[in-house]
Amino acid sequence: MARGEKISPDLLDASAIAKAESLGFAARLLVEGYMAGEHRSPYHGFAIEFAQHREYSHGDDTRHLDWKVLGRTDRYYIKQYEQETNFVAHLLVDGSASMLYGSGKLTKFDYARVMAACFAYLVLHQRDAVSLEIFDRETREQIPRTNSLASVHNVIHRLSDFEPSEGSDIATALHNLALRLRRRGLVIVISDLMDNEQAVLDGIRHIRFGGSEVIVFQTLDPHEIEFPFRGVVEFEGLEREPRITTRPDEIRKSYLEEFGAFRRRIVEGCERNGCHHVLVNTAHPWEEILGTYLAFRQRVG
Amino acid sequence: MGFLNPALLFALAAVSVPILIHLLNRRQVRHVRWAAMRFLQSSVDRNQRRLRIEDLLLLFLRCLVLALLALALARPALRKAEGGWFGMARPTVLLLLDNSYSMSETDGTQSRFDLARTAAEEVLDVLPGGSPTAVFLASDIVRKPIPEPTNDGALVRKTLRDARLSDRGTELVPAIEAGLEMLGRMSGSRKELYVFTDGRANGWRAREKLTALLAAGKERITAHVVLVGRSQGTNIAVTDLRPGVALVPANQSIPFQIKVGNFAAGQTGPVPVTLQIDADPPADETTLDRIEPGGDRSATLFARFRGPGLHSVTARVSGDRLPADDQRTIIVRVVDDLRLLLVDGDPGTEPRTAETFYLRRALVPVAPLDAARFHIKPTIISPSQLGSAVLDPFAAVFLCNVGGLPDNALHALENHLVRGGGLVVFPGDRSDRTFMNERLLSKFGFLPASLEAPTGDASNSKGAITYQPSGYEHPIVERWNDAAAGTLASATFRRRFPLVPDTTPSASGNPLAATPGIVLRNADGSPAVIARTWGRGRVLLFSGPADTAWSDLSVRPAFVPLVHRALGWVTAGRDESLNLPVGGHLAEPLDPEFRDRSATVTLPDATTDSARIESGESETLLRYDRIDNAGAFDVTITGEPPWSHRFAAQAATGESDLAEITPETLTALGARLLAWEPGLNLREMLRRDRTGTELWLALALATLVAAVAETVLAERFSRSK
Repeated sequence: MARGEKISPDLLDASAIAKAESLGFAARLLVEGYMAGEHRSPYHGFAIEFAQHREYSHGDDTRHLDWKVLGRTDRYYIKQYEQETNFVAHLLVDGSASMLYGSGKLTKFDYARVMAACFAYLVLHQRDAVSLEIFDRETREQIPRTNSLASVHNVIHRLSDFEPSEGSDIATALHNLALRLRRRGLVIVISDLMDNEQAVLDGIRHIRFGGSEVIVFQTLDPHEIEFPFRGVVEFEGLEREPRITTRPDEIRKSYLEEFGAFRRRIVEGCERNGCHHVLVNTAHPWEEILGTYLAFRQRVG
Repeated sequence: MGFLNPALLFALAAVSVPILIHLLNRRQVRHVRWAAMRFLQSSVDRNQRRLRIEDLLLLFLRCLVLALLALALARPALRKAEGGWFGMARPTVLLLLDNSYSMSETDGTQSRFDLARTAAEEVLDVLPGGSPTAVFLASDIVRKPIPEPTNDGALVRKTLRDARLSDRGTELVPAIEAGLEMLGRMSGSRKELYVFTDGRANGWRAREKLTALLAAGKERITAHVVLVGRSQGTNIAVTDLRPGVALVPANQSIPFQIKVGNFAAGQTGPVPVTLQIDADPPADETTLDRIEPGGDRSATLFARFRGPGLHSVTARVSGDRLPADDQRTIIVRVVDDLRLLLVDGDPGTEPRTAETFYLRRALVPVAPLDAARFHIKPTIISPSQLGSAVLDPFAAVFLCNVGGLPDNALHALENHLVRGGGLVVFPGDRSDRTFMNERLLSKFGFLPASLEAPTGDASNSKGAITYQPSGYEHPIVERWNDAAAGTLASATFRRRFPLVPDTTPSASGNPLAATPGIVLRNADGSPAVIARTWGRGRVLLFSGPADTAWSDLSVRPAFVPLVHRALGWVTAGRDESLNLPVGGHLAEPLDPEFRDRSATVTLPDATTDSARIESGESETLLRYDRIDNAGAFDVTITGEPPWSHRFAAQAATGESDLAEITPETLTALGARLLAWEPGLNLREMLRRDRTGTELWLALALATLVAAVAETVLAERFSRSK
């Protein structure tokens, strides 16, 4: 499949994605669509890169001695790399009930798990490691880091089997991850971020403090962005908030102001913390999101 | 406050529609499971109170629009109209137009009668379509062009357009009574009476009865009086026209007395007056000085008639704003020769001793050579010849000292009187009192008085009596009220028959005999000359003979004018029908040969009408009753032999009076009063009068304002906030 070609929508309807095979197939199609015909992998940025030599000092692990230098010069030098040999991408997927909203065929969570599957496939295909965590108030599903391409099935199974049901606490999930991160890596957060945005930003800063790169895919439904409802609507909270009956027409402006301010705070907070923020509108096709983001990686990488 | 379409008040129930929609809308809620509740909640928290207020405000406005609309459709009016539940119930309507001649008053373009017709049509426009409507025309009589209400609006309008003015006076009260009576007979819950008049006060006599009638019918009959136009304030009228002589011969200058009245509140300028014979150019004219308000002036103008026959004479003043009374027309019989039959009961042995000697001289007061050319031509016969005489050519018969008459003579006299001839009786020593009292009075009723036994001594002037010296009332003798005309009281009566007036015409057994009138009294107050009309003829009875046997009257200078005036009066009977009041009836005797012919009447305005020819057992009469206009009428019967007749009608002068009834008086009657003149919106006045001030327009505007407010606010409220 050529790059940019649309995935047949039949493969990617909500029920299909909920099946692991379909999800995996979709992810592979998406990713391979990008890789086919490329001279350079767009993922070289994740490769192991040599940084410098330094003189051996007492206590250094002899495994890292540069034996070739020692053989030629008889000097003890340690080989240093910019990154750990195995790059780890932590996929942090929001599995709270708020992700269950979807104005079209797909919910935000459907969209999120396709994205997560894509990233997992991409990273593993690159022979880097990936870890997956689906959380709501607490961690619901967790796959420790793995660099086996075979484990992508595990990832996809977990994603496709998960059904969101609880409220969210994104900040706690971010903090927990930050504490667990022993190496710097890439943290990919896929969430609508509908939580206390200051706490979320604190969590991101915590991760950034550990040196990891953070990419936030803020997944939002077009209805949440545009609020196009008419007539009298009773809104029922997905996370058990009290019901609200109103005429959306008449409060649209107010809602859009509120929601816009929220998004602005997120974007500004991300920029402050050196975190890359990508707005994912679930009305847009996945390949467009992926394409946009990967093009961006290539540019900054 | 009431409603013209109360049934439409049910539409007020429509107010519940927005409320129902509001409630239903609240039930028609889309259910959405939503993630971004936080932002929604804060927006709602900020706006919910305002939204609720806006909601209620819009709901209120929508209800208000419908309520106002329903109220406007129900047509509320400040005064309750008895409209019935289903809107404008059709009232039964009588349009009563005053067509008296005062309605001819014009403002220069339209007469008040034109205005009345316009006003009546406006009433038709205002009434609910198909309202049964009758039309009456009221002057001093009621004409009923549409006597019973009809639903044919076109007929009503045509009748109104064809309605014509009369020259009659006004007497509205009987007309209104007739109208109320007619409306009272009609079924239907609502009845309306419209009187269109100029409000002349003389048309509203006998109001008290009307007030009671209106009050009695008030529940069901609403009376409206529409006063049309405005009085122009000036009116000069010819109030009288009469010849100055009793007999009008041809080719002599005849004086006519004309009286002109000023009915305005101000003095007039000089008033030119003309006199016209037939359709000729004016024969004479003069200018009267200023006439004081309420006063009148007389003028004498002269005219000469070329030939005998019936001629019209018209006196005219220059036109003013009420043209109907600016001229007055009479018909005058111009005589070529007036043949008289003198029955001499005592011819004597020589002419001078004849009973009729002085009378004949007095009747033909010219030299014997000129007698042939004089217009009065007496014929003298004896009583025995009377029975066989043909009386038709004679205008009058004089019975001078006649003893008795055969029955055939009496029947001839009866016919003579029926046809309008005159009879003058001079009783004398040969007169048979029994014959006079039993035959002439009791049997035929000719005489106006019974004769008692004669008193006084003919040969002795002691105890003689004279005529009254003054206070003359009868037309024959009224000229002697003027001292310049001489005196009647110089004659002395030595002997006479005391006369007892026949005050009980029924006693004489003849319905044609009218109540006698005293022409002259003696100085002691006892009757000296008594007159009676009998049929169309006239009878004059003196208390003594026409010669000098009992008195010296016949040698007095006053005898000639007295005889001529008496002759004029007794022969005027056949001319009585020449001049009739407007509203009078023509009943002209015809020969039986005209029995099956048809008669045509040409009216003063040159239109034609037909007259009836009625034949009874004893006589054939030509009758014409529709004398509604003043002026000369010509009656012709075509065929062989042809027959023609002329008569003139004169309007009553009371109608010339400008005095108007006060609005308070009319309102006190219990009628609704509308004063209309051109330039005012009559239709609106009528509508308001019928229904009171309507409020639908204000309500419709309020509805519009509320609807616009609703639209603007709804648009504004629905803008996202």
